[in-house]
Amino acid sequence: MNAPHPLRRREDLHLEFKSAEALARPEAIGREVAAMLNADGGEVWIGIREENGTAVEAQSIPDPERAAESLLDSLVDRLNPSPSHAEVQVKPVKVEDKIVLRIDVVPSSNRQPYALIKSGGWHFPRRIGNRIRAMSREEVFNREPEADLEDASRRIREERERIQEAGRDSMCLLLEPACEVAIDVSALADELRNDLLNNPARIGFRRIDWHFAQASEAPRLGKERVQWGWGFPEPAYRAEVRAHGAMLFECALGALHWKGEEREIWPLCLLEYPISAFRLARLILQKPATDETPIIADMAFFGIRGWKLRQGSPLDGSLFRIHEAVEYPEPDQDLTWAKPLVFPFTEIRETPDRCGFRLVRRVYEAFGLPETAIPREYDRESSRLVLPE
Amino acid sequence: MDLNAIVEDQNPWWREPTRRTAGRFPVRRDLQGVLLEHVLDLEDRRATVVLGPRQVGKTTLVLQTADDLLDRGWPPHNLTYFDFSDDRILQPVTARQVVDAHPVGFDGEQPRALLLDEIHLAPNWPSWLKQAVDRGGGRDRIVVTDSAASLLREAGRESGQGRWDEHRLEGLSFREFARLMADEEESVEEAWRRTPNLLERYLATGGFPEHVAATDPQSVRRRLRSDIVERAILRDLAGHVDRVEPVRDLFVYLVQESGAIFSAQGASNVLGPDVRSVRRWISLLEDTFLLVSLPKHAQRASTGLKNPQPKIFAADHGLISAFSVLPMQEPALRAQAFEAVVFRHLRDVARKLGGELSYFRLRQDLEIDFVLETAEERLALEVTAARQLKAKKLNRLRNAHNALKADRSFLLHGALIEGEPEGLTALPLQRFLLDPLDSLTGNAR
Repeated sequence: MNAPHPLRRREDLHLEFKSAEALARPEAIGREVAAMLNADGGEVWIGIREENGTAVEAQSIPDPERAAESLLDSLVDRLNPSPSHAEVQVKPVKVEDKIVLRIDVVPSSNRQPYALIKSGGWHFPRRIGNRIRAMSREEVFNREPEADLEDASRRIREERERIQEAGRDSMCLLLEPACEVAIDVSALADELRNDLLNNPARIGFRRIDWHFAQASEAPRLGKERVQWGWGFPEPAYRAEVRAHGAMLFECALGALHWKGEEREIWPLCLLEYPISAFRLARLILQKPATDETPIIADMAFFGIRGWKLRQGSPLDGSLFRIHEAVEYPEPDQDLTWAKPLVFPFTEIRETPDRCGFRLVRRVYEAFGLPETAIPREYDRESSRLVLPE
Repeated sequence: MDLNAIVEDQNPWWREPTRRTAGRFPVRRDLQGVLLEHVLDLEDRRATVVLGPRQVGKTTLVLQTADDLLDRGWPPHNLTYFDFSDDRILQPVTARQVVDAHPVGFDGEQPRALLLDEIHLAPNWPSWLKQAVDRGGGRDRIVVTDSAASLLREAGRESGQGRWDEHRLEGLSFREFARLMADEEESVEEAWRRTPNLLERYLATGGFPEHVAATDPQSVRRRLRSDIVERAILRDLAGHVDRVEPVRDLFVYLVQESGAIFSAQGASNVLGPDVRSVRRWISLLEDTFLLVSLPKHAQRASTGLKNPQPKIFAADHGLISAFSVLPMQEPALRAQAFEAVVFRHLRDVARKLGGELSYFRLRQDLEIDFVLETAEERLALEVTAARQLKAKKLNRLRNAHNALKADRSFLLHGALIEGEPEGLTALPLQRFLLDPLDSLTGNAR
């Protein structure tokens, strides 16, 4: 239990001190550990008070064995990939006459970067000297293990280009796991046919809503994929799930129009279709995917030029009509984003609506509309789409 | 306000020949063409009576007819529209008074179109209509609307024979609904293809034109409840019964039980009033056109005379969700709505083919929801909202088909059913609703 004395040492790239109170904020400790895992490793001491970066006092940790165990559990939950015993150890250590905790951090270069899961999102902190900063996207992607993410992004880009070449005016939403997940498409086809496509309540939608859980004919089972849609041969939408976990949802722009001016996107269609896609993804991936599985999500609109979007919710009645519909302001025919979003599956599992909302928010931004313009049916507090009963 | 002023106000084309009144209702009902054709056919001296429940769009239909006539060059001063339910009318107004209110410029040598809305509010209107048809010799082209069948009955069916044609205006058909929801220049099929939930919206909101465009189906349910109960029942029936509340309760009970075999004794047991009252009230409620009965199929004519067990349906499926205590997602509610909506469309088909509709029930396991009997053939139609078809159900349907001696049997379904069950024609509900007549008769070809 005795260790090199930390008192009077200064914080640096490999050394961080936290007071005993920090145990009440395991997220903050997780951030320090993740930052060291993404740098060169080191030690994080809990129960050492510091002044101006120098350790000045040891503070007793009550029940240190139990605190160490609890802290390690918390780190395993908060970090992705979950650290192994070789990467992170938490030990009670005697400093002078006090028992404090020391976290030994030894990163595995082939598992970097490590993400801190916080508020449903992934964060990549990195220790620079005695400070922490967020890693840039380039740093995240240039890491060798991120080749999986890069591959998935490339696949999704290629798929998007294929759809673009088809020349349909449509909105497409693509989901691609960065690591392969195995989906039994035959079983999925059965489930779709026997239940899911006739029972949108499975994904929390009503039949009258705009969602991908309905079809004009039975789902088609192809080679390593299952497809369904509405209105073949000119589909209002089509959906496809592939055996390795990729999903495609494509919706004709015309299907986003319900009322209003010609070529006006009905805000509830724009909100509900993507959210239904994420809810379906949650259902389909819940068994094969792990919480840590990164899912790349991309959205694109083809032929969007001339289409309009109005702020607010149609359920606000005449108030909705007061605002003018805003035309897509760019001269381009298509609306795409250079970088897809990455969601750990845990985020899709816990807050699928928020994942959809984040994509929709980009669309509103592209139309020059603020986030507040998105219909209030997406409840910001609960991060859920709440439709009137 | 005196009558002349009201008549002039209701006929703005007398002052401004280019004025149109129905411009804000761009979609034409299927019946529209029939009315227009009838008015323009000067060889046909008969009048036209349009019957339908409140809020079903009779006034719009008549105003659109006025617009269409004017657009086709009908002399504006020879076109009179009058709504007898205008709240500015303080004393009863007769049809004769309206007809006599000639505008300056009226040409007595030319035919005249008289479009009279809510005619039952005019005293002695049946006598006037009989005389007008008999004496007019076709020069007066008369269209009247009525939302209370009892009054028409009072006018006497015999009097109407050869003097007027009756047309029923029901809630919007699915095709009319789709047309209402379609963009300009967009066909019904295109609108249907791009809107996967179009049928579900139709099922949820019903076919009352005033309400179908609402964004929130919940508000439609609320408004229908209040409009139907307050106006069509509490107000219209108030003069026909001592207490109207029990009639309202019976109406709600029957709508909630839509599609069930009606038993006056059963309703009496549940609601309290005696059987005789229940029977009388049923008759009154049918006169509001909000309930429709379907007789039991009688294989022998003699049985038909004492047919005791009709099924009672909500005339419009929107009423089912409006008055149900169940949430709209409930499968039982959906099944009721399915049956009501099929019945509504089959009534159109039966009218066009001159056929009779009934249901078939020999015993509990030998039933068919609808039988359409035409001069040529007997069609059996079973409706299901089930996700899958079980062999047992199909066998029962085949047995019923044989017992009924049906020429063809259809299974109308709303599920993802693959293949054709042997001996039956499986027809997705959406396809049937988009083209009821063709989807039934087209299969014969």
